[in-house]
Amino acid sequence: MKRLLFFFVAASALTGSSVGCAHVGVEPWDRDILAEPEMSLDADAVDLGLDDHIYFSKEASSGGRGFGGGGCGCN
Amino acid sequence: MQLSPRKNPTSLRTGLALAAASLLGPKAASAAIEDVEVGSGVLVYTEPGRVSALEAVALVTRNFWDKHKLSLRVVYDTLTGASPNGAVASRSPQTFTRPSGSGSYTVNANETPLDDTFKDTRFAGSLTYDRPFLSAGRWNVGLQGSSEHDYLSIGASTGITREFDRKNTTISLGVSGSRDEISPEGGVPTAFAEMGAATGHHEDDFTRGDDGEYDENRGEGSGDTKSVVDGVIGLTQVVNRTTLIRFNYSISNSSGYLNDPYKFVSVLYGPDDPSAGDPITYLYEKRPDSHTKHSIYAQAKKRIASTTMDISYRFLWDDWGITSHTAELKHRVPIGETVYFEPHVRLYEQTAADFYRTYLLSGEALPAEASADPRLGPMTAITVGNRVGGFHVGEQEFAVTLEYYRQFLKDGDQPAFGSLEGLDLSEDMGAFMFRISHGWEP
Repeated sequence: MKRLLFFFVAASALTGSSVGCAHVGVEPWDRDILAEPEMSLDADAVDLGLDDHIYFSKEASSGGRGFGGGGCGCN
Repeated sequence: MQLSPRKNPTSLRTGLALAAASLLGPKAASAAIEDVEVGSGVLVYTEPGRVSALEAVALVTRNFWDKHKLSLRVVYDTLTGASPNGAVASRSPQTFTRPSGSGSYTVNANETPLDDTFKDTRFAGSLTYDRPFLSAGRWNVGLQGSSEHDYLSIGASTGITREFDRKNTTISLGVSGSRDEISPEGGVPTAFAEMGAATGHHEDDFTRGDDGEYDENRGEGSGDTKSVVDGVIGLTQVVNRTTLIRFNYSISNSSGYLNDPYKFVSVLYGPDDPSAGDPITYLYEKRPDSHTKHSIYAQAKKRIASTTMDISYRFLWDDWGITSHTAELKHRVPIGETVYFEPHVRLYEQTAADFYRTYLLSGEALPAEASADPRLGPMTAITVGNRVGGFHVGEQEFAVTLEYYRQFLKDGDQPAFGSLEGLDLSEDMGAFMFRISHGWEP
């Protein structure tokens, strides 16, 4: 659990976010950059799907970003 | 303070299009929403001397009515080549029965045993319907299927999202379930049974017993099933005008037949035997019949000057004793009006499953479970590559990606001894991945 706590603290620090910060978020008219395709968290969905299949087949871990994948024998 | 103008051709284009649509009236605005998006890609994956795969995927999304979406994904892949069968290398050539039971293959002395039988073709597809749900929410439902000659999977999923605080915070919840049928070549092997003798009549046949032995040791019928249930809960937060973060917690439970029917565990003469380290026989592996995985995933997307940084980390742990860390960094750097470079680094580390065994020893009691599948052993891995994209031909956009993936397998808890000393019992694996991807938004 210490590891998880460390991770959350590090992730918060990295992104400059902090719980309860009054300045988190933007107004609708400030979304010009966030609206660009490459700023989507799932940008390049086709590539992400191909990658997930490779790593699912070669490692003991899968999922995280979405469901764990699978549905194949994948030898 | 001097304010510099925002150099952003894409958002300017979008803004102009929206402004024009507004001027032209509701009919034109609605036509802008009712569109189709197409994505496709081809992946060539090759492990020199081992497996090669070709995978093609097409994703079509149709937007209709008011923010309703229907997405169809179709995948085809074909795989051929050699894959580790779990047995350890030996000072002498080793002969293994092919999974079908007909014929055998021989592995040279001092080499990691690879089964060169693999040849498979897979078709998979999914259909997802996504629609507005209550106020500030969306709901999706999907069906998935995947078919290989020895594997069939049918599944369904559903999820909801809800936006809060001027759409700056999004909570999502999703569940999926699948039912898989495994129909291995040659039938389902009996866990911990000895590798059956070949029944075929190839010139290089390895025949230790009569023709009945193979069927006897793969006597669990022609197929078996497993069920998989997944759940994901996520939080996405807009931090500021250039930063977006996401946290997910996922849980996944598989139950049923979880063995790999094509993997062996070597049984070796013990350290006190004159033939210490030499193989006696090979057993079919045995894994637990239930597997629960948990993962925490965090991702941040950040615009820095004209570049876009995507950084993510996943921590995964399960009830098989595996923990893993995955860290990824992609950095998109524009080098022209639309063309960009996107270097990519991925680092991965996993611990071994509790029941991972490099080998079993003659005379020792069989453990409750054992697998020598290197994918369940300790390893680190790295992927490095670069994507070059933003090439436009009319309304089509193309990108090419070249990556190298290397697994550094670590030795398990069991030491090399006797004739194993000096052999590479955990041989590293390298793979090249080449992708061409394409997008079209007419």
